[in-house]
Amino acid sequence: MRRFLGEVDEQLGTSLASEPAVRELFSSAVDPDAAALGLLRVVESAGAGGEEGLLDALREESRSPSTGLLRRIVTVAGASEALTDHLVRHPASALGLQGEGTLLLDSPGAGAEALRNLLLHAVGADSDRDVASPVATRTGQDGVDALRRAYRDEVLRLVADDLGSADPVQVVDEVCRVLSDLAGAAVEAALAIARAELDPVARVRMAVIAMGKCGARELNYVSDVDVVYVHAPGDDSPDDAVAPDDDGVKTAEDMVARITEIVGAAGQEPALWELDAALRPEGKSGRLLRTVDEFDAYYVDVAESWEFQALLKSRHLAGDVYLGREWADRMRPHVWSASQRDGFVEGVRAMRRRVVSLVPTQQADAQIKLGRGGLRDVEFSAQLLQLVHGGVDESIRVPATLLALSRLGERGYIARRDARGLDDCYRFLRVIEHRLQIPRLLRTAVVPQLEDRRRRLARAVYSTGDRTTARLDRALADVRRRVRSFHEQIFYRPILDAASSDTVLTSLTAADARDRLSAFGYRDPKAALTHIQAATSGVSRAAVIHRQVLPAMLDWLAEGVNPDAGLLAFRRLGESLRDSSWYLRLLRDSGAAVHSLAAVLSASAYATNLLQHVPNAVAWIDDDTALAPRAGDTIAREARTLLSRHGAQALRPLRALHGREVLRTALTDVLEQPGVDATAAALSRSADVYLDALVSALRLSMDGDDVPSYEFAVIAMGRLGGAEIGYFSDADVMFAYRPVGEASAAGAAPLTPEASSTLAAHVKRLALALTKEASRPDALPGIVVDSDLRPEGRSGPLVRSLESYGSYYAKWSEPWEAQALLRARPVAGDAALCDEFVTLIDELRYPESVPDRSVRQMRKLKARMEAERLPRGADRSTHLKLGRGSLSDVEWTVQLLQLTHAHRVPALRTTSTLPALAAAVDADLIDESDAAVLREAWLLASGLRSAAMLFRGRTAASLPADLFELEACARLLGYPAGQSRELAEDYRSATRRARRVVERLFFGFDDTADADDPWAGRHD
Amino acid sequence: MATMSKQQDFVLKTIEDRDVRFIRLWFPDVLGRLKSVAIVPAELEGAFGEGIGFDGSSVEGFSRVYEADMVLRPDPSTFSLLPWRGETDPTARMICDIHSPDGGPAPADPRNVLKRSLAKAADAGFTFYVHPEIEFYLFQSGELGGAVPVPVDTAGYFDHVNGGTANDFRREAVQTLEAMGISVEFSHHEAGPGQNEIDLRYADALTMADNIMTFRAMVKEVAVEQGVYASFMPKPLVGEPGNGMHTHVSLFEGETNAFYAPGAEYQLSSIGRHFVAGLLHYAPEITAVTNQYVNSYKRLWTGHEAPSYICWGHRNRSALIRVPQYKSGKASSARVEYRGLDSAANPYLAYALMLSAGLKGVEDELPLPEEAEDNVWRLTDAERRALGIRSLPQSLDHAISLMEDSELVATTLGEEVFDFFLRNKRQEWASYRDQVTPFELERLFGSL
Repeated sequence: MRRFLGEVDEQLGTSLASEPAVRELFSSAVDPDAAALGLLRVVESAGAGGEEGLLDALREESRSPSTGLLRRIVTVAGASEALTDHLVRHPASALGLQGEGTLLLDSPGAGAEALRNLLLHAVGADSDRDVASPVATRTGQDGVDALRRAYRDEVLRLVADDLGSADPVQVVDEVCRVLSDLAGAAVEAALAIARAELDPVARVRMAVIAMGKCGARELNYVSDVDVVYVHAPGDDSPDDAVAPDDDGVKTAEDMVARITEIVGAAGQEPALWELDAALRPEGKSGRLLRTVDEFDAYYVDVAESWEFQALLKSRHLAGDVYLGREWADRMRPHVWSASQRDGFVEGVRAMRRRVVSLVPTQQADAQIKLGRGGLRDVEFSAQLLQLVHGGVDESIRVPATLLALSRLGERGYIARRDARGLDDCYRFLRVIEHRLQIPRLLRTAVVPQLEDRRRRLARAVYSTGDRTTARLDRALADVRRRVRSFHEQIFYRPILDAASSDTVLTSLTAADARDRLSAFGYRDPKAALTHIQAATSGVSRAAVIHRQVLPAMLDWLAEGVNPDAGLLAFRRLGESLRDSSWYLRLLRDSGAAVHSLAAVLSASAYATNLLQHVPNAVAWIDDDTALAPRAGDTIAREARTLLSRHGAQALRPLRALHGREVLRTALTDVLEQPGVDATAAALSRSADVYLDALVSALRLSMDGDDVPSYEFAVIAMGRLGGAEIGYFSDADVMFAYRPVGEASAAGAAPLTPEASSTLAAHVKRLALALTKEASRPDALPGIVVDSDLRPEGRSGPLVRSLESYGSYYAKWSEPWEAQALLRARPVAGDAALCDEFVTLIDELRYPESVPDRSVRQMRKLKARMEAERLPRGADRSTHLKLGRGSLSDVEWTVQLLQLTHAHRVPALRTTSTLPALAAAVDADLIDESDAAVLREAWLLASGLRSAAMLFRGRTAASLPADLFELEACARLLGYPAGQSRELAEDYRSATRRARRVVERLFFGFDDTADADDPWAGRHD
Repeated sequence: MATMSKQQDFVLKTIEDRDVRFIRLWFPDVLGRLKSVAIVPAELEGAFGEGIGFDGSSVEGFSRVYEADMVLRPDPSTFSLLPWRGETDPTARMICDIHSPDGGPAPADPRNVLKRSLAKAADAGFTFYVHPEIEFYLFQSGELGGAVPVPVDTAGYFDHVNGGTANDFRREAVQTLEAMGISVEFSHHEAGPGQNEIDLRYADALTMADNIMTFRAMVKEVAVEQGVYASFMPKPLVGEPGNGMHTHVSLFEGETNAFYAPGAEYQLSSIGRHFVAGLLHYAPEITAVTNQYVNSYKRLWTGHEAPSYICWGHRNRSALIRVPQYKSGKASSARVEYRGLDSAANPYLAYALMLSAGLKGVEDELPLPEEAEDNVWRLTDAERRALGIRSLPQSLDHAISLMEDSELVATTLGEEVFDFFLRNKRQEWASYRDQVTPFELERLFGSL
């Protein structure tokens, strides 16, 4: 620093280096060395260029520092390489840094009009307001350079004011305002150049509309300037004759291209910023220019919710002022009509969530603009509330964020304290953003990693006192945390206050509160207010904590499909757990768990219902290991413990065990979407253990000395046999038994006829007791045991001895009769009997050969079922079980493969559909592509059954026809919000393709046999 | 209540100024037949705001999974006075989108099908322009009473008929069309007796499909006024040419014609070549839609330059796709002509499929087969096979079975429309098969 100053002194003949005040000046600069070197470079350049004016002024300064010239050069040069370079290129521009007080801020020269005149003059255009279309006299490269230099001169003066300000947070809105008007002036001057070059007689009527930050006059130093272009066809071309090659349009387009280049293309004088027209109708693929009518039609019919958010900030920026105003007058009202549409707010918020999710996580904390707790969160909160309430209350229809915040606070739409807090945070973040951009005048909003750069940033943010990075880091973290918490609470806190009619804190009326709830997706806002009131009134600890968590909770519930049901459930849960200190602690301390709880309550009536029976399970939500699916062994061990502890009294604890496992599965299903096959496996595991343990417990109480020894087995059939049950599947079973003497002790005396009939009556009672106990009302969810699939159906005996099964099956003559046995799987009872039973049926279900006759029988049976079993009124293309290409189609196809090949291919000997299908692929019995088609349809149909049950708490037979329900299912199946129609389309298309495979593989229809030869022709 | 757009305002004002008594709300069913609901002006504001409810179950293709209640939303940009009704009882019409009660577009609305395809093209940066040449016959009467239809004249291709009905008719029709804002490029007498062709000036596909619906209604109406009967039936007369709707198509990227490449063969760009290749590749499976009636196949398979064989050519009048000669230097007019379509097609679905087929060709960069130089009708089956020239399906039944296997058609139409269409066409084929035709009686009755 000293060396540089010495050289400056040499050049100027001054003695700055030895002046303590001057050294003080330098040492307070952001980077003292850079400041000194910068000054030297400017002085050298001035000397070389013969800029005696500047040199004299500096000499004068060194004697009596009255104009602030030296101070400002030091400030700017210490903080901005880009502006130092500008001064080196144009030393005379430094003369603009002389003056008392501030140079631009709060001065008449900073008005929009003054800035416009200044830049128009710079390109030699007449700036008189009466001249509607000023034409530049300096054009080409000369005009571009003149414009850019004049623009930079003003930025230089602004930066000097900004960095020199004692309290930059207080002036930041004014800095933004000046930057916005300066941008407008630059576009106006660029237009004047383009006009001179392309349309000197000013035939084209065109206006530039600013959107985004420039529109709201809250631009930062370097940012893309968002614009759209509106034009009016000249008088000589009638409205309806705007053909694509019309001259007027072509010229206007050329002018747009030219102004974009004038401000944004690289050059000797650096570019200002990019003009970005991506917010125009239809985005990047849309036409660059449209007429007012075309904009109008677009915003009425086509525009999406978020586009109105952009429109909220629009204003005329440059070009034809009448056209610009007409545009604004016509477009603005659309914002307020659109914002009252159903689903508008949800649409806007979904968009925001997507944007946040796109910010790379490693950047999220360094990004002060887009990341969570960044600038965009504040802007978004304010805009959303404006959109919700601006339809009724015109006083909050203001474009700029800070003004909007203050109006929202005044009118009670947000708590005043929150409004002030957000104002503080926003200003601070904007100051940091500006300090990030000043050094190189580059568009950046990322806090640098390099320590050196961070140090300079901190010194630029704080001009006095503690200027360390530690202070900056602390302040930044604190602000981000506050913004996040404001953002989470801002929408709902006033609603809480309104619900408790605490008018001291807010003036939000009950009607406003209902409007807001309804805009955010609550369908019955009146009931919602009642629930909120009930949950938060009083002085109990629960009420206090509810008041803390509800603002965020309400928001999270609204992310789900059914926030109303979720809120009611939350209220009920609070009532049953009001005295559980762990629950209140979880609510208070574990944000993530509360978020998950909200997700469950608003997505699944089924899980909610179970939770209300087992409220303690809420604690699992806060515990990943508690939610992890448990191995069958683990559950079985727990069941054994219960049996040994409670003996015959174990029924109730066993039911609770099963209920907990089902709930665990449902919670995981909602929160993590592990896939329908994983869910089915978990549910089946628990059902197996439950049935087995119930049998044991019942036998402990029922078997007496008067009953001969016997073995007993429960054979699962159907979906439970396949280990692929859903939340609600009847458990299809058969019961088998045999007296133990028969098998074990050879030569033991057979039972007497009386003993035999005693035993038969006993096992029947046992089977009936099992059926009853498995689904007792307090067993939630319980298992409905259904034994209708047994031999001879309902007219056959409920329980058969193994021997009786043997003789029954021996009567079968057709292999297809064994089809149902393909899914038979013993799940409970004595292992030896289970094994014997499997041996018995394996011969039947895996026959050595299947005659064609039998295959035809099976096909015919299936074809008849299709005609007869579909319920009246059901639609074949949407029925999940019996529909075209759905569960039954896929399962029969797989079962036919098993029946015909499992004897030869042991891997096919499984009761489960998907493993059997995979084995068939491995054995080359089916193409992988066909198998994939079947698998997809099967998974989708199973998934839909499962999702419908989770959402409604009741089963669904068909693809839901109700769009609300369909949306709920789509979300549970992992589709993004608003994609219910895609789910319906996916389902129909997957099952259509599956049906074609089924027709080919199961029915043996040959595609090519009946289709005409595509080459054939009639004529020769 | 949403604010009115300027277009809506314009419609309301015009209705008041012109003292319009009725507004016909038009919409197409899945087969492309025009449906109409009349409302009085007082109901119109509500129609713009909330739409007009109707029971979809009574309309072909609309009564599927979702609630039968449907909502018509008139598109104000399609507002037009119906000129043929005269000034005595002024009537206007608007074409409607069909929405589900939840507000979203109904999957079964043919306009929506086309809009989805156009949106997909727009995502790839393309706009789709079409220019149809619509053929139809004028007959003396629409009442047949068991006899063969009698054409109004016996003239031929481009013949001038002195004082003929056809001349008056075309003049009147063209004036009416122009009065409704539909620009006519060309009109002339076609090859068949009483057969006429009117070419509409190119427009984007959605506008054009709307125009075709209007055109067919209007031509029939003008015919009635002149005491004759107009028919768009694909093949009304044995031994005479059928009614085709050859359609010229082009893709634009912004204002640039993406089919145009100066210096390339026929100035056809590689995008154009892939597009043609796509159309050729998928032609068999989209035919059930482009030629949707039993009768359509009688046009396709009885000569008269009908495009039975899947090939393309430059001057070849029998090819399915013709790459026409255009004036040098006029880049914007580069286009290809698909000759398979007939005048009875549902233009929304047909154009959606032609666009998807072409775009799929572009996306997959399908290679363009060699140009067919010969008249493919003159080749033997073996020669055609040797040249790799396939044929279009020979019957509706054949076309249906090809469509059933088509992923392209299923995804373009959407599963619901796809299902409905197949079901409807299978029924048509079954009813047709049930007939004992005059041909059979003539051939067989006397001798068997």
